[in-house]
Amino acid sequence: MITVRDLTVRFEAKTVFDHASFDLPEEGVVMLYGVSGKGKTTLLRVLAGLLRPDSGTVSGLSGRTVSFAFQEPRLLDWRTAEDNIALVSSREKAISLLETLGLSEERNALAKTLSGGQKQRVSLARAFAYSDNVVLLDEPFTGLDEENRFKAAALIRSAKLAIVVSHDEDDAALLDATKKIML
Amino acid sequence: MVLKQKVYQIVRIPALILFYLGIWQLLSILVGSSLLLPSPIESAVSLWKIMCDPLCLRDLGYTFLRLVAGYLIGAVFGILLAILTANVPFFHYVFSPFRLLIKSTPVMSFVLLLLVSVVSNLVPVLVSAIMVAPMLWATTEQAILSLDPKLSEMGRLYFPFPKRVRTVYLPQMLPQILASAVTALGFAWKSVITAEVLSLPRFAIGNRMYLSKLYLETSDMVAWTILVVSLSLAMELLLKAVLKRKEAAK
Repeated sequence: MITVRDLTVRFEAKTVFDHASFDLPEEGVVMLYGVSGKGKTTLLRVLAGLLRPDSGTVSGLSGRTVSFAFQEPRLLDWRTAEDNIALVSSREKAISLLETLGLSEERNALAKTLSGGQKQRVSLARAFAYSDNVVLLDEPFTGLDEENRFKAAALIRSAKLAIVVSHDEDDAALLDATKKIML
Repeated sequence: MVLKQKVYQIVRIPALILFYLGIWQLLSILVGSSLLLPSPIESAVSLWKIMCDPLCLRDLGYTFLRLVAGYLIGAVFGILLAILTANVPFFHYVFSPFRLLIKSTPVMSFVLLLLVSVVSNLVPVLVSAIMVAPMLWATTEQAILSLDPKLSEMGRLYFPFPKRVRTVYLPQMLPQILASAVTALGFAWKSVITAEVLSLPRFAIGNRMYLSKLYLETSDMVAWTILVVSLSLAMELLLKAVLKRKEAAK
């Protein structure tokens, strides 16, 4: 079990979490949903170790490699789609993941030339190339058409543990979510 | 039309050079004294003599070494200070006035101050380092502060520090730093020569220029100037070519 205890996160005057506690399963798909500004992304950043909370503890993640597909793709624009993924793993893995997500033809295209949806898929592929043990996904379906949503969802379901942030509660069905947390 | 453009491209630079040489020749005829303004031909003859004299080439080599040493020292210090001041606000507040002071102090003051305490051979090296450092310091600091924070956060998750620097930080910073490095090179040349003229170290272009002035050999002085400007331009073009190749590689 992954446990978050007494989490407090403040950004200047705004308190996002005030002694909040969560229990997350070790496997499956967990969905965090709710309206904007309730701390979904903040929780992911805390779990990834990218944000130090004002107080509170996270346990159950030590020894597990955590990857993160950010809400904005955050690709290295000056590198190719394949490079962006291969830099965090291997070239073979990059090629295979690009194929899975229907991006084989774009593998040698510079990231800056890709469309929003394509960038989103490259970002997803990068997260899975780095680790499919614990994958944190912030709005992974943004900009994806129906076909690519299914491809992305299939990949997300293959993770040992995926924690997905979404505005859309219907995404839970698409992902076969084992747990839903409303924030 | 295409042929016309090609001819224009080929002829443009030589025509411009000829135009200015013509103006120079005209002015030297008008002045009527090679002591005040030698003609292009007289200067070319002096330049040829310099290029054929091994002792002159030796002096050129020494000046070049001082320039390279000063430039590298300045660049390393500038970049290290930038890393410090961009990351630790305390050092930024402490050192910023110091940078402003160096930038606004005339080269002459540094030369005279250093002459009191340093061997004359080292003065040009230190002066060019002092001129180069603040330029690269300011640019690198700005480049660090302009790094995309979202990319930096991504880098923190996916890459260990050395790889993060190589793959995330440097590609964002290099265009700014290299452009500043090219400008700093021109300043380094000017400051080395100025410092050499004032400190008169052994084996130096500045020393030769000073002697030319002393013996009223104006054509030699012009020839040395042409040589320095040509070398400075050649080095700038070389650095720019490296910069272009880096951009093309992206």
